[in-house]
Amino acid sequence: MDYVLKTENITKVYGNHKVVDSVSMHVKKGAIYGFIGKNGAGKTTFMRMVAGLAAPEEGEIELFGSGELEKQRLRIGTLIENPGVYVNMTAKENLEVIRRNFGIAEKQAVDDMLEFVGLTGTEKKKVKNFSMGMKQRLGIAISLFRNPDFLILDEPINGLDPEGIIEIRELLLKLNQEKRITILISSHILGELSKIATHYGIIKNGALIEEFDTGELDERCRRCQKIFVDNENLAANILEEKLHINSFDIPGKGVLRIFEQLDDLEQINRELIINGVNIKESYLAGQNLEGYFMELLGGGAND
Amino acid sequence: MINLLSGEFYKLQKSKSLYICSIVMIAFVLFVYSTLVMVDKIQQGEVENGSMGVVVSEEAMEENEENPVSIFEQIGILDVLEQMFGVFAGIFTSIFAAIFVCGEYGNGAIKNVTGKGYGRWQIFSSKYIMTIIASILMMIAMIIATFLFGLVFSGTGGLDGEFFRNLCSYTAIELLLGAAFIGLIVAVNEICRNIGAGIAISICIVCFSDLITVGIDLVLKYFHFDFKISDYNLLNLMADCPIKNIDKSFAVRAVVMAVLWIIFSFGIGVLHFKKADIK
Repeated sequence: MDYVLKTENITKVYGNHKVVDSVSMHVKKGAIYGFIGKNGAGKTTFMRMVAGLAAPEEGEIELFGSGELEKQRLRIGTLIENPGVYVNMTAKENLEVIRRNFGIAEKQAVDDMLEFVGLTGTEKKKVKNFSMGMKQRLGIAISLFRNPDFLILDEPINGLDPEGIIEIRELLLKLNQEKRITILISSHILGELSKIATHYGIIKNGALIEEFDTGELDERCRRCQKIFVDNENLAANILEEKLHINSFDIPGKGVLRIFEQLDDLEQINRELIINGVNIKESYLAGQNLEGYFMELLGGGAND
Repeated sequence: MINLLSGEFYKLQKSKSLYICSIVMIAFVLFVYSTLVMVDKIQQGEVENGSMGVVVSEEAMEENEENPVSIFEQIGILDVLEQMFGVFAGIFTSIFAAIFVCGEYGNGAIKNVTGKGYGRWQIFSSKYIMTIIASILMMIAMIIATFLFGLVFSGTGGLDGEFFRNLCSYTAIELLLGAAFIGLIVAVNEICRNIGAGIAISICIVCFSDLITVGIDLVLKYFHFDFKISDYNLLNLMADCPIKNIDKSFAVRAVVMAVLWIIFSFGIGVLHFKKADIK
């Protein structure tokens, strides 16, 4: 498998608190990987370790299939927390600093990048007078300046108005589809994330609890009848033989999910009871993306 | 490394704090000369004592009455320069250094270069070198201003070969010590990474480090140690540097201590920058 980022049990400890706990993440080439977790779950710390801004206590990081991180990080662009910009300079001057820092000879590259992120015409405007969306776009321009193959964005749409969110979304899709840039993006705005992400990772209390792609997510969020029984194998036989239902699964002990005949729940329940299956609970399930994430994250405050 | 220095140089050019601190430093030179002019006028009886807040002591007034000479015959360009290097240069260059170094952490721009193919020692070195260069430029501007204002206020009398020899040797040693001092301030600011705290700590170092070292000297003397720590403190050396006929032993001690402090502050700064996480 062609992975852009692969981590193996990376851990970060501050004091006695494990902020990132043995995270093994896999970001495939070409993916837009949505990184989801509550505030303080460890997303930013994890991203900072991948970007080389913090050192992990344990574990290994592999970038582009290589452990030579210093060299491979040249292929990464990052926007972590807030955009690192000089507010008393203009966008052009900020990019000029980056151009000089990385020894890019073409002066035109600055104007090209400003045009690419839609910041042309801001030559005289200092960044301190920029809107939030303009600052975020400048941050993205900085992260894109060296044509990275992998972009790490930490909550890039935070604080943006709806128009700004759409602009950033379209920009990210353009980068992913036209420039084939792999993106690792964290966000709290799950609905927005679901519009662009191809893969997801859920982090809770520092630990990566799930990784899946959109196909799996759709499957997990599929409308179904969820039945909790005492004997799931017997129930499965009844479903197949008596009710001729083949579209169901057994996600755990004593649980069945039935994906067909959802208009006739009473009939299914009745048939199972008649044939000796004790039903503890039965309901129509199926949720939207946010509901599924909230279920995974446990709801309530992060602890 | 050259690229990083180029980026730092560009930031320096765009840095308002560099220009503001330099202008204020030059304004202070003018302020010192203006005060001297007032003192001269008071002593000559042209202006009433206490005018514009300038008060000349009775003792000085009596002394001047016995032997009436212009104050500019007693206090020359090198004396004003000594005053400037003794206090003001340290304060304004360290304020600039605190803003230039800590600003990088405050706005998060340090993240744009860290972990992007450069070794952390290279990133710190570029900041360290450029801050020292900027501070030297500020001090040179102060020296030029002191010299030019000196010509305006006290005339060209006394500007002989000996004066220029003293000026060159004195400013060379002060610039070297000043560079070492700013190196130390860069390291301190790299550790504290907060503009407010950085400025406060830097000013405290300028104002109190000589007092502290003199205090330590007294303690050492009490315990019969024949060793004066103030002989090795950069700010003491800057304040104690003779403006005329610098003896060889002082020059050697100043150069050696400047080099040692540069190595020390650079080492501490690099070590901390390499170990600490960037937030």
